[in-house]
Amino acid sequence: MLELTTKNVGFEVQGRMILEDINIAFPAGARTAILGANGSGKSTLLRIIAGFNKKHAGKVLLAGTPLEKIPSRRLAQMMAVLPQKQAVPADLTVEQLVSCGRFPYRTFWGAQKKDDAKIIKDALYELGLEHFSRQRLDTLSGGEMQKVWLAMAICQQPQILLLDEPTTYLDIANQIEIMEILADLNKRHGMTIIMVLHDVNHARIYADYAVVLDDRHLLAQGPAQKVIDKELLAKAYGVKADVYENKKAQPQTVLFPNGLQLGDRMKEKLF
Amino acid sequence: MERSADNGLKRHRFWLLGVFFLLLLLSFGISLSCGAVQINLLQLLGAGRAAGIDEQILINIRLPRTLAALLVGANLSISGAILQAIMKNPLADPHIIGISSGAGLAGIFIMIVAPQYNYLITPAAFIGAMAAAVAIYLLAWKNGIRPLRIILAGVAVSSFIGAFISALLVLYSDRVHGALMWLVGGFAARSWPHVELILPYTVCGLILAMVGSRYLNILQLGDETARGLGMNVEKVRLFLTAIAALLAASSVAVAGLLGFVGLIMPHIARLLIGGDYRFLLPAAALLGSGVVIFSDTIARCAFAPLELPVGILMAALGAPFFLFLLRREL
Repeated sequence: MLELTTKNVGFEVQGRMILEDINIAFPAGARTAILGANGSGKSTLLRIIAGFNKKHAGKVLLAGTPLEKIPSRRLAQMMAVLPQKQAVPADLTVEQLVSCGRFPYRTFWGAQKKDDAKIIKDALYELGLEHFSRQRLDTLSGGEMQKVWLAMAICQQPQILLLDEPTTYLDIANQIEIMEILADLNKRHGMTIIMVLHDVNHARIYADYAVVLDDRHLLAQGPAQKVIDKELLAKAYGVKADVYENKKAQPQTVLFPNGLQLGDRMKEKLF
Repeated sequence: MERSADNGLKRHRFWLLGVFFLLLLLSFGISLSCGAVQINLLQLLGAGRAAGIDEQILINIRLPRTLAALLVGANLSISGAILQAIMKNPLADPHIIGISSGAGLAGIFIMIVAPQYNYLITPAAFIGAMAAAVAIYLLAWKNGIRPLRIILAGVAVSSFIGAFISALLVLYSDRVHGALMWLVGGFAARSWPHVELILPYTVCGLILAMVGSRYLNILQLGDETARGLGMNVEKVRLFLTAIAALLAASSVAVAGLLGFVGLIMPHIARLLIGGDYRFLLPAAALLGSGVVIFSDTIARCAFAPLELPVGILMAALGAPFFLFLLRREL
């Protein structure tokens, strides 16, 4: 299995440090959540390990090989990336978009492999999109659209899947469905999943491993259940929260009793 | 998009391409037969050859002019379709990469300042167009090409060059007539040398554009997604912009600053055949050729013996249609 690691990764824009000295070993075959407050550098980190941002300091290694040494198509066969929402031409059909996931396997002249059609069909089926395949993208809801993107990523047959806030703009049911699909991909295909998450509850429930950033530094990394606790939430987000043990549901969930309360750090910032 | 459940859709689109091809043939035939002298094509085909004068008109005047219109129409439409995808801007057309201003300045300079070298207008316009495109590219380059930067650089360079065009027109106001015809765009007196000039660009451009169509399909999903799929976005954008520039420059050199074809035909093609560039590009080429030929025929015949430059007609038809699109889509 492919292991993704970062070695002293840093990134600077116009003299301002966005990330500094990040050393992470993303466990292969696991689901990792990248957490942190807005502006802590989560998305930047994801863009760096996706190979989009090449001007960073330090190294990103995929199975020991520096990312920039891997040809881009080869990389796209090993690793799929779902960026945050991107505008997409409204007049494409679901199947047209999903089939784009086969692009990394095409030759220059566009010859397709024999099993392309089957892989596309299977991906549509796996996400329950087979009846949508000829529908235009502008007729889909947010949750359906996110599933189409996932189907496209599955067509890449990656071993690693990177996602930037996959549940943003989705209602609760769709959020759960997307997280369950990711859990399923992880379990059945052994796909390594690395996702930037906003919802700490999601991270506790659906991630095995957590990486927490705070103001460009790595605050903590480790098993999600252990890492995400009261102190960490106070440090990373500046909120007072309790972690409750729910006897019925395993694992535990993070809750905010008595409504939301800002922690001392945030109060200092505000007042 | 691929061979699979979508065969029905695919067949439908091949049918549409067939229809567009027939429309092109129809306008080609009308263009050959209509004019100051009516030529009955069917009779001509039946007899094998026509009476001497008719054949002369057909071979030396109408056929090359119609072919020039066909090639220019195809070039401008494909160029526009490519640019709209790589700039991710529905308003993109060959003008935004400076093609028209560059060609305009070079052509008008020769026409007005050095009219004795009139035969150089076509090559000079081509060089001017390419020079402007390269200049905009270099100015917009900063760790690669970003669509917004190239559009803004295009606007700036075009208005800079536009100042010189206006200056020439004002300073030599007595010689403006020919220059005006050139600025509007048309096919008056276009003949075989023009066809020979543009043909290689059309053939190469079409082939390269078709190879690039799969890349355009990916690129229209956005830079990040395209990168995630393993595409070298910068390289592909550079390559495709160069193709678009060559296609547009060669057509501007032949027909002058013919507007609206490159902007509008890709939209019409897209509305009719959908967003898959493997079908969209040939559809835009066929429709563009057909519409330019047909418009040129009307421009020649409708106000005979006066001949309108086709650019006027295209703009008069194109602008309202564009407004219609604007209300429908945006």
